[in-house]
This record gives sequence, structure tokens and C-alpha cells, in this order.
Amino acid sequence: MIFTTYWFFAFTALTLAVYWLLPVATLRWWFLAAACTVFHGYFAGPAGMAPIVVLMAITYVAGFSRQKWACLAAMILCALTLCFYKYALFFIGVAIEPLSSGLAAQLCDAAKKIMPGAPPLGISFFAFEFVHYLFEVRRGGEPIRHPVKFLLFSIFFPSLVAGPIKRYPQFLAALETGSRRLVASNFADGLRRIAIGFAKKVAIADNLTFLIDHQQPQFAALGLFDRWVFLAMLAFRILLDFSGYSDIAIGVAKLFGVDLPENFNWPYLARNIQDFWQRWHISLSSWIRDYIYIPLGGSRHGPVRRVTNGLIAFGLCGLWHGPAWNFVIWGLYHGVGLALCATYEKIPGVGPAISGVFEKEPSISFVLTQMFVWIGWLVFFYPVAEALKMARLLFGL
Amino acid sequence: MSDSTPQPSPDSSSRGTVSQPFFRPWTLLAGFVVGLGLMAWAGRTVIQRDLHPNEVRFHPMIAPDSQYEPTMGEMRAFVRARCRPDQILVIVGGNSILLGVGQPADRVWTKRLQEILGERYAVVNLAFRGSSPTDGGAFVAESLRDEFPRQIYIANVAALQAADAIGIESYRFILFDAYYKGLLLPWAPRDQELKDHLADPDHKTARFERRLGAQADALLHYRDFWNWWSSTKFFTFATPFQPNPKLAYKPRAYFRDEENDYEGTPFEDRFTPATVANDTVIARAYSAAAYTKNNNGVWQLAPAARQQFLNYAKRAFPDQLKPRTLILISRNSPFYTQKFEPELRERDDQAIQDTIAGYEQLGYSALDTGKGYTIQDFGDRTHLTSTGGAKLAAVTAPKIQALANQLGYLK
Amino acid sequence: MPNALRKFWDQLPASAATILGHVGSLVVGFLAAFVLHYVLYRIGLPSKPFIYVAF
Repeated sequence: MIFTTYWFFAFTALTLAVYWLLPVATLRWWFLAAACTVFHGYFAGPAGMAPIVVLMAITYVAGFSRQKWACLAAMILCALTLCFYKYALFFIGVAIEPLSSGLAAQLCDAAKKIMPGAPPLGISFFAFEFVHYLFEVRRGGEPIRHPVKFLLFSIFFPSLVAGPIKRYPQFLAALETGSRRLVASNFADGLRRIAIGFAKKVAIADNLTFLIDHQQPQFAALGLFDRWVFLAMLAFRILLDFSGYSDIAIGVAKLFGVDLPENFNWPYLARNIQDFWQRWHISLSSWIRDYIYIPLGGSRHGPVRRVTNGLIAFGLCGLWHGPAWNFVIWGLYHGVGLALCATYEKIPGVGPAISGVFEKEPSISFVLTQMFVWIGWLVFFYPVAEALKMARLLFGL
Repeated sequence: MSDSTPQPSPDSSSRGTVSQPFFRPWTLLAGFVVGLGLMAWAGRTVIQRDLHPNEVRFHPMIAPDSQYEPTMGEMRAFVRARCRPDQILVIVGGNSILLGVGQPADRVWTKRLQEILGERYAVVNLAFRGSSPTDGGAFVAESLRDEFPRQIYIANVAALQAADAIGIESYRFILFDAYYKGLLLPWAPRDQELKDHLADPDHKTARFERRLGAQADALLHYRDFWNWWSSTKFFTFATPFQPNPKLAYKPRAYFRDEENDYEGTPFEDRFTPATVANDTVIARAYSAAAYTKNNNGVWQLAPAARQQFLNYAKRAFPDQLKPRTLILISRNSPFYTQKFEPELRERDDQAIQDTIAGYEQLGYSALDTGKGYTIQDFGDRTHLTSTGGAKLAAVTAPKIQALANQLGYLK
Repeated sequence: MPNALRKFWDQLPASAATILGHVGSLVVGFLAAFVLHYVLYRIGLPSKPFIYVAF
């Protein structure tokens, strides 16, 4: 993990020191852009950097041109690049392998020859941020003309690896405000946030990982209570790991005076699935909403389209997490949950009754929501068959 | 999922009062800087005391086997607690053979060595499993050269074996710790080896990372502090080496040296057919490299091989430390060697003689660990039982005394 | 800040709030240093045990 390297600490300290010493904002942007380039090059390597640089250039030019067709073409290119690097082998396995394993093997070999050993660092985040940018410019937003600012938006090192997914108007405003006047509170707030993030990740989440890895093979042998404790550990591990990482990213950005969007808002206090997705990986869920769900029509074409759009959006959300069926199923699971959450009140007879119960006793809704989310983590982390078995064992079945 | 972007919540100061912030930035920053300084000072201070007062060696629960990396400060404190300034310090380095794998703590060979040498000497076991002669204990001994000028360092090799001056990868954390804290002598071959090691393009990133860590640790002493914490308070993470979750966070002082006793393990468990087959091949190859018979039927080492060995051995230790370095040449168990053809046994003996001659030519002391061992003295192909360890102690002690005399320690 | 805590904070006399603020900031600064000191230690440790194989 990039944040847990000495190089990262040394790089951040050095970059921050120079950044703070530079007298004017413009110089800070140039310096920070150069530093971010060095950061990206160090961790991504030439093979990982090249496709990002190409996409960056194309996105910049397309946005600069403000031509709708250019923006659309660039968006498609970004999506195809993400699909190629991250999902080519998965798609070949899904679509070609059942028809012809020989052809699938040939295509896999050909793809592996072109691809680097691993997908380019942060490709998922780059693709999403570029698509967001092009989408907004295409519908009339002001493009980023200053190439240095565009470069900073693209490869801002604190959020480069694991988000949060930035929105360019807010990022630019934060960059301009934060870099013009450096204040001690930025440093203090950033430091606090970084410490919280590391405490969550290194002190707690990593230890939960050991316990989980140790207990999972013996899950069936555990008592009923211990199985639920395991589930709780799984749920808190991912929350603390991921939110810890986000805290570090947000804290580091704050050191430079830049506010990144919040990514988590006490998700395990959510009272329903809709509330959950407004608290969990907020930058991703809002991206999915704005650039998949709403363009598909959102809820504007009746309940059937609403549910369908939600399932598509969340299926893709699941797939974004990784090229494997269990992620897709996890996404669809949440899509179904959201659909139920949005429509259960309209179920004749039962709906209003349930709604009444939840209003009278909100804790029931809270417990059901958390159970739904926590059980969903089983299919996120384990193969589907294993996850189903574990889910059954949770209920003593 | 809703179509609309959530609206931000109303400003809490809209009631007209502006709440003053709780955190004072400069005070927080001051707290951070002072806190780091205090932690560094604490690290330097707590590591002065011996963290392992009840231990005779660095057993797996206080060694990299269990993701515990003893620091130089820790090992130096370990030595200071066991050697008075008026004693001649004997640091035993090397690998599992000298660590005493197969010998329980109360019957480890270094205890017997101490008994034979007496109060005038202090024997400290700083060997590590899988370590090389130039690792671990070697750097500790070197770092204590001024504090304990009357010192002898012992390590072991097989025939014609020498070691990189920078040790092996698994224990390189000790070299980095010592090097970047300025505890080692300048030694050009080692400095060059380290430079080449860091510049290796295949591993540059990982090694630069390790170097940065060592440099930061030289300033902040975090390894010292957290090793102290992990040994005495609680261990902060679980290791697969100790899979029992109930014991995962126990301080390392909780765990005792529970080395397996070879003498209590049935012979057939230690010499299984698969092990015997494998180890026979290894034992037969002990001196296979570069030996040919000359016209008189005497085994001769090829000049190129001899030179290569000498070059390695010359670079291994700084020149001023060679005279006080005793290299023990380890042999294989007679369970294997007694089955060899006579000429193979002759070749092994010749190789050991050549190794001793080579080391002594370079200024080291060297000793054959001897042929007077029985099958029962060995727990496996290379490791000695407690009985075998006692014999090793009996063979080594006179050499140590002679070396101490030669070096003028006994005046 | 939770509402109850904010109410309490707003009602504190200025001098008390200042002292509490400084003390709290100092403590949080120490804690941040403590955490980062630990993180520096932890990231330098091997990710796996050293597997010893007798040879």
C-alpha cells in the first residue's frame, strides 16, 4: 500500500516543505504538478504511466475544444481503456470462453502481451474522473484551460491511488483557495486526519484482517455468536481500512490546503439502504448516480425503469470493484436492496404496515439495514458459493 | 437512489453566534513535534535496558521467524547485561548450528562453553537461524569494539564457504540499523557491496525503502521504542507464526525459549527416509566443488576456486577485526559421512584443511569442529544435540583461550 | 461536533475554553506523533515470518 511506505512519508514531507516555502500560488501549482508527476512515475512506472498520460492529453484536448463529439469520443475511449486494462481477461472468460476455449486462450495471450503485469495504477479512478470532466464540459461546464491545473486535477497525488473521486469544479476552487493562503490550521487539521486514518488502518484494520483470515477456514466450526462476531469483524475491517485510507488521502491533501470530498459519513449508522449509500464511498456512489443512473433515466420513467436503472448502475458499481462475478453480484444485491427500499411502501397491504413499524421503531429499520449490508460483505470478499454457505450458517441453517 | 444531488446542511452558525474552534493549530503542531521528539528520546532510553533478561539466545519468538526484528540497541543491551567490563566478551554469531537448534535453552552448547571458560569470559549467543557469519552478532560485536575491546567473535561456515560482508537478505535489517546509526567501522569492500546492493536495478525500490526506513529510525528510534513495547507491554499485531489468537498480542517476554530437544525426539522422526535421501546428496557434495586429484593421488583445490574463496573471505570482515574472529568449520553428521567412500572423506578433510589455511592466511583464526562425534551427537545432518554441543564447547574453549592469550587479553 | 458538546463548548468562559483548547490540542498533537511513530515502525516490519529451513 502506497501510503504505508517510507518513500511516501519522505516525499510528502519534502514536497510540503518546499510548497510552504514557495511565495506565490502559481509557483506552488507548478511545483506540486511536478511533484505529482514524480509520484506517479515512481509508483506506476513507465508502463503504468504511459496510458494515463495519453488519456490525460486526450481528455484535456477534447475538453479544451468543447466539441460535444470530441468529449463523447474521449469518454468512450476512457471507458474502453478501463475495460481493456481491468476487464479484458474477465470479459474474454465470460463471453468467449464458453463458446471457444481455444479462441479465448489466444485472445488472453494476445491481451497479456500488450498489457503490463498489472493494470495501470489508479486506472479506475482516472477513468471515472476523466469521464466526469468530459461529461460536465460536454453539457456546458467550463473546461480547465490551464494545463498545470488540469494536470493537478488528473494526478493529484493524495487521491491518485484510492480516491476520493474528485469533481473538478470543487477541486479547482479548493486548490485556488488553499494554495493562495497557507494557514497553520490546514497543517493541524491534515495531521489529525492522517493520524486518525493510520490508526484505523494500521492499528485496527490490519489486526482484524489477521483474525478474519485465521477464523474464516473454521467458520462452520464456530458457534453462532462467534459467526456473527466474525461478520462484525469483516464489516468493520473494510470500513476502517477503506475509510482510514480516505482519511489519509484527505489529510494529506489538507496539508497542501486542498479539501477533498468526504468519502464516508458513519455508514453503519444508516437507517436504510438509500441512507447507507449516501454515507458509504460517497464519491463513488454520487458518481454512479450522476453519470450512470441519471443518464439512464433515473427514476423519471416509472418504477420499472427506476429499478432497472438502479440494477444496472449498481451492477456496474460492483464490477468497478474488481473483474469477478462476486463483485457484480454484490452490486446487484445492493441494487435489489435499493429497489426494495424505494418501493416497499407501495406494496399493497404489507407496505404501509411495514412503513408504520419502521416509523414507530426506527431501530428495526437500522438493524435490518446493517444486517443487509454486513451479510452483503460475504459475497464481496468470498466466492459466491462460499458466501452463501456462510450466510446460511449465520442463521444456523 | 435519488435523482437529486443532496443539499448541504444549513450552516450551524446561522443563529448568529460564531463558535470558536477547539483546536489551536500551532499548539497542535507543537504537540506533534514535541511528541515525536519525546518518542525518539523514549526509544533511545528504553532500549538501554535488557529486554530479554531470562533468555540465553534470540529464540523464534524474538527473532524474524515471528516478524520480530531485534534492533542493534536491543542486542547491545543484551550483551551489556551479560558481560562485565572486566570480562573477555565472546560473541557467538553464525547460523542455527551455533544458535543451538535442537538444544534446549538450559543445555545449549554456549552455556557449556561458558562453564568451561569460566568467569573470566562472558559468552553471549547472538546466532540466528539461517544467518551468515557476517550477520547479526558480527555487527553487534563490531559496534561494541570500543566498549569491549577484549572481544572474540565466533561464527561457523561449511568448507570453503565465506560470506558477503553485508550478510544475507533476511538479516540485512541489522546491517542497515548498524550502518545508518554509525556503529560500524569504515570498510571499503563492505561499503562498496552495500552501494551495489542499493543500486541493483531489480530491487532498487525495495532497498531504497529499507534505507529510508533505517535513516528515519536513526533519528526517531521507533524500532527501539516499539520493540521495547512489544516485548514488555503487548505485541501490536498478530503473526502467522503464532496463530493462536489468544496469545497473539501477548508481550514477547511472555514466550519462553521452547527449542525442540533433539535428544528427546526419536531418531526415526529426525532421519526419515526422505530426509536421509535428500541430505545424503547434500552431504556428498560438501567438498565437491573444484577438487581434483593430483598425480600423487592427493585432493587439490583448483587455484581459481581457492582464489575466489580467499577473495570472499578477505572482504567479509574489516582487517582490524579479523584477528579476533574465530571461524568454526562445521561438519556433517557421521550418520552420513561414515557411509562415504574413503576418498570422499579424505576430500572433505582436505577441504576443511584448505578452509582453515585460507582463513588463517588472511588473519582470521579458524578451527575444525572435530571428528570425534558420534551419530548421537547430531540431531540431523548438521545440528548438534546437547551432548554434541558439549563436545563442540570442549573443542572450542581451548582455541578461544589460546586466541585470547595471543591477542594479549589475558595480561 | 455533536450538538450537546457544542452547546457545552459555547457556554464555557473564554479563558477556560482557551486553556482547554490548548491542552486538548497539545494532547492531540502528542497522539498524532504517537500514532505516526508506530506507523513508521510497523511499515518497516516484514509482511511475513522468516521461514527457517534447516540446511
